[in-house]
Amino acid sequence: MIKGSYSLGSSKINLESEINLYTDLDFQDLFKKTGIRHVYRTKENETSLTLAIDASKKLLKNIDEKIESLIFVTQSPVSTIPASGCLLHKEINLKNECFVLDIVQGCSGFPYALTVAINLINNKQFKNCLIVSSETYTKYINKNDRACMPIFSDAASAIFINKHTTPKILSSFFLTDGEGAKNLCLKTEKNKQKLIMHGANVFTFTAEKVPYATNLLLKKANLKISDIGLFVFHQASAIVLQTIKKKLKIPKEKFYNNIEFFGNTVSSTIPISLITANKEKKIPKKKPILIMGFGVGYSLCGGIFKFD
Amino acid sequence: MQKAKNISMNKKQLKKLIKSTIDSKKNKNFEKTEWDSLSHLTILTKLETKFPNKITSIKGIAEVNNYKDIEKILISKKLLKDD
Repeated sequence: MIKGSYSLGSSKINLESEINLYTDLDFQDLFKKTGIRHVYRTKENETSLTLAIDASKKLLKNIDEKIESLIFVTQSPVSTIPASGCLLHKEINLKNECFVLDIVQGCSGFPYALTVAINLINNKQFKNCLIVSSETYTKYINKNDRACMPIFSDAASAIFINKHTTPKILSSFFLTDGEGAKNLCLKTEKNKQKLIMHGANVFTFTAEKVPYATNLLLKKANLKISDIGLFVFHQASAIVLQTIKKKLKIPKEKFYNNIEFFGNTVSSTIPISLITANKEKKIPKKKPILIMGFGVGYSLCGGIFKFD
Repeated sequence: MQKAKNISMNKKQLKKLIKSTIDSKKNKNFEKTEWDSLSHLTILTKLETKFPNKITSIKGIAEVNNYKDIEKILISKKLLKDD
């Protein structure tokens, strides 16, 4: 089954206590919209790399194979030259003969990485892969930013797959729309990087494209909603998740949701969901699961996978 | 096909929907108040519930952030009675 671990920013924030310190928002009203009670923020000495190292080391303790490939998903890298994957590779002591690839996607990053890893393992390029996702978006957010502050959370996750545990891909789908780039992006103002999000635009993209992509994935795999054992969508916000569930008429018990406890951890929402769903024994053994990430880019990546 | 009367709302209903979303006590002149990001999202989802699969596909709907403009756009899409 799924082998994984995660690491959260060390400041655990209870939004109910904090929200009035910085904004005039009412927590209960906000909670109905975001569904988020806790977020995690990194302290100054924590980075996407330190979180990634922590998540990876926790997982590697329980892996007795040499890692042959590493995919590092991050949009908040500590370095672009060299690639952050090389820094992570060194810090977790992987062997030199190792495939290392950085994927600079946000919310769609994990499904992208999973699809690449499965295909390369199936093509016998290597026997196993460590997929690490890590984001520290909160470093780019002001505490009085009403749109971003109550949503985003810092975390890293690590997932290990090998030729024996690799899920089967029943269908996959990718969508990119650079027209939406300006609606969720990092801007530099007065020498400071700031995350800008136009929530309504991102929402309309999501509300339109996620149901479309889901139906397409089902059609490609010749499956129906009822054939899927679990739906794991990117945990964006309650409003987004409810809209997707409603539009696709997905039964509550098949629709995974843990956003209340972790917030939107960007590329880690799906791997953390897989890990917690696995612990809760919610990942069906014989039924396929549908995974989809979407958002910043705009970028969307989804797939129907069957785990043995 | 659904009849127009089944898919329309009137201005009074739209005003009520928006008033219930934004803090209308703080925003007495709510018709001219610009919505913040969270209120905007809530208004869109409430409208999407009222008109399934008709709201989020409207071009430019995400740019609208006040009552007057949403009124105009819904009238143009024949979702709001121009009474």
